[in-house]
Amino acid sequence: MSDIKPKTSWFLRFFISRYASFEFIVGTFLTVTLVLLVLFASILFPDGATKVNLAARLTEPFQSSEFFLGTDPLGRDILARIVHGGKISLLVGLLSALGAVVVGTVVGLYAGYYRGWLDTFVMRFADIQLALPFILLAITIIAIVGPGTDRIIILMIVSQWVQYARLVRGAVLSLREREFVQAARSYGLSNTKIIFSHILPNAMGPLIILLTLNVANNILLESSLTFLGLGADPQTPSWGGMLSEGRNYVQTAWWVTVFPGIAIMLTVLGLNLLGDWLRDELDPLGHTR
Amino acid sequence: MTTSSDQASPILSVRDMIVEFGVSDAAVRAVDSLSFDLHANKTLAIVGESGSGKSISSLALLGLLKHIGGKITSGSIAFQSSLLGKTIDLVQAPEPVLRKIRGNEIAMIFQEPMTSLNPVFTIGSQMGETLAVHQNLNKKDTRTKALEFLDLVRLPNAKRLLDNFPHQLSGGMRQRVMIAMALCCQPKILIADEPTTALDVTIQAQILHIIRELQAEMGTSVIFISHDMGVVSEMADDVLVMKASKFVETGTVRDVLGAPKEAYTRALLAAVPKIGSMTGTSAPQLFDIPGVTGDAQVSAIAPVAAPESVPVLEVEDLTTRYDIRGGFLNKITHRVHAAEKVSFKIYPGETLALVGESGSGKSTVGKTIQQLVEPVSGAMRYHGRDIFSLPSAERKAFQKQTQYVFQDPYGSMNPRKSVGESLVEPAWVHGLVTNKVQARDMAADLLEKVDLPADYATRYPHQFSGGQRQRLCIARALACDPSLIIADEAVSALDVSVQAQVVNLMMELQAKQNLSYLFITHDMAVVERISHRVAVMYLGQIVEIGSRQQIFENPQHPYTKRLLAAVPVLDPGHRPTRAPLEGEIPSALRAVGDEPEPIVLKQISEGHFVGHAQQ
Repeated sequence: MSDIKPKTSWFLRFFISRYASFEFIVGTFLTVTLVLLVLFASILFPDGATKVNLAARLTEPFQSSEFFLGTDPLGRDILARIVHGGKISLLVGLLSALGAVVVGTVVGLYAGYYRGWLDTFVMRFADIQLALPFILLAITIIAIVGPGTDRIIILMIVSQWVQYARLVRGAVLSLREREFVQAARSYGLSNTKIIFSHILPNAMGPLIILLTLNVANNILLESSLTFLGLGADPQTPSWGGMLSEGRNYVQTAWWVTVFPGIAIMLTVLGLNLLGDWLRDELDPLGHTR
Repeated sequence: MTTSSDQASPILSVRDMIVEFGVSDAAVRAVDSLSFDLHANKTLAIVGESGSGKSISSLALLGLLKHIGGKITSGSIAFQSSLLGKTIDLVQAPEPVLRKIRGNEIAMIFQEPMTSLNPVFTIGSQMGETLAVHQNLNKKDTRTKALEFLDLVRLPNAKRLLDNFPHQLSGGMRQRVMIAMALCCQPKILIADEPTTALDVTIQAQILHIIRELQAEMGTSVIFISHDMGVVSEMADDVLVMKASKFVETGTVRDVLGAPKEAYTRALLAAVPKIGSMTGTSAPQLFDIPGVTGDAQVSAIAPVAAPESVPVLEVEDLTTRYDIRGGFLNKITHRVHAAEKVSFKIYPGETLALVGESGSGKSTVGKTIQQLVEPVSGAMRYHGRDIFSLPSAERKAFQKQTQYVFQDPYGSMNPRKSVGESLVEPAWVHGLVTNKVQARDMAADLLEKVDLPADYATRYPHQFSGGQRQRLCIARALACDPSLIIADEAVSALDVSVQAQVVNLMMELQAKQNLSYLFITHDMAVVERISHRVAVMYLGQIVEIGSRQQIFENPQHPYTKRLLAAVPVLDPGHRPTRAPLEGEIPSALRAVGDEPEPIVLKQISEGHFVGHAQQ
């Protein structure tokens, strides 16, 4: 029989037993580094990322210590813009995905567990929403409430809870018939307890995977919205915005798009690794290797 | 008596076969130097408990191990192929040759008839596929041939079946289709891997009968893989016993089952409940497991509870129906009459067995009592108190008094919770523990009750074997100190030796704590061991109820007789002479307004009631 988890504090166990995990080390390193950089952006680059220096426009990277990653067509420091731009990108990506996952999961759990009219109503509503093109929805909503970072986050939550709800509902439909759920009902556990302590933990695996992919998607989505003029002020740097600004210069100045691209990639990689690790950690079967 | 040795050379000869899974340094041996011979027109039964390597051996013969990551690392399988006109070694043979042999000369029937047919193709096209591959027949000829073989397995309306999809057929019919498919190329060897384990006993009897008859007609050799000693005794000429991937013993069915040489075989046979072995005794009896001595005080299980005492539970005219909706307005078009006017009493310290085949509504009765489903009508009195008339909060408290143990020990514990958390959860719900220290003590205490070490509480369900998990489920059921435990097929999924231990445990707990059991099962042999009284259910109604002795020694209702006759008997000396039972179990699905005829129970002797349909 395999290892038995000691009942010491979870904190200790957390670090000792998971320390050896590749996913945990790399994932934490990447994510923590990015978050720290973004948090201390104004200390690292007090000039901000908006300072225009036309004399130094399109400086190649790794040439000067002043513009380590080069400059964009307006002569702005790309490194500084990446660090500052992370603020909006991470905020939008993480908050929208988290918001959608919470709303979608709760709706999916209740719809799948109780079935009946609630399920029918919610799922038909979801079908209708899925049938609407996102851009149309975005333009309509932004036209009504006006642009802004917080509006974008809400827009993304509104448009994306559906996929979580469908995913969770599907899992719940099979889980609610499992014998351990029936057993819990047989000894009188309340429905809410069953939903959150028996069904939800068993539906977490795919949810975490979808969440980490969703973060990446939303970072890019924010850039499309900004590009359409529906997002934040185009002057404020964001990774997605940098990508769309640089697309005219891909052939002549690759660094303008490649570095923000790498920043997005590293964020997503870090989150995916952490997500994988978390999924294994939550699944007791994951411990028996 | 003919033994295998005085015949011509064997059709299949396996020598020192070793099957391993995984890569060389971390390889797991699933079969360890197995040797056997299979002779023409004979049946070799491979028996063993789960994990003994019996199914892996059969897959190895077909060269199908690659798909599941296994490999034959040494040994040989000599097969007399009439297709190739020579003896070939199936271990060395290249894949194209194996493909020609598979399904053509060596065919296989799988355990699960529900999933071994592809749901999107008709029966005709699935049968045609095998024929087209191996016999180069055109579409019209495959159809005639398929029809011929469906007739052979005695499927009524074979012509119509060809255009049916698998879901339109019952489990028994699907298994017959599987047999027809396996036989349609007239193979020399038929491998049957637990072909009847998933079926009801009366259907099992039909299938075994068909396999036996076809074997005689077509001269096929059969490798019959089973854990059921009764079935083996009825089917096999030779028996090979395996344990933990190793060979134990082999010989003729008379020798191995009648006078086993090895200790393991003896232990296995001792654990098999033999129907009829308790004729003349009135009290339940523990299994006699060699090397394990039961609790001394348990020998005194009360024969029958005093009938004048107040019953723990009294069920009266309990009726549960499931609505089937359909049509444009989602109206109720049909109802499944799962339980119709079911009445019985359970006394303290008594086991009432509720027996019947699938669809008889026995589980529905259990679930209705546990309030997992709502009844349409009827009353339920617990120690004289009417449960259904109580307000819902008090009804919920009643769930503490009855506990439910489910069939599947793998499914009934949350895989994400530690065993300790799962065990005491019912106690948290009903406020019997209020802090973590109490909970930990209770978990340790419960584990001790079911003979497991207390430190297992920190483990997770996947770290336990099936038998241990069923012990855990019983421990969880004991958490609220109930007076009635509903065991729904609680031992059906377990290996025989484990089953015997769990049944013994249940009886010991009954003696110690004066528990009552409602023991829901289809296995008549286990019922004979454990029960004080037996109720037989058929299509949602009780057709016969009485003491164990009355039901087993003097069955009155035709269905009870049929059920008892269908149970395979572990007696290699004689083959059953029972007439093949025809037909399927009818369905309890009825159109709205078409109520079933109520069965009136008449007393024929003290406590023995038999049903007569009212005419």
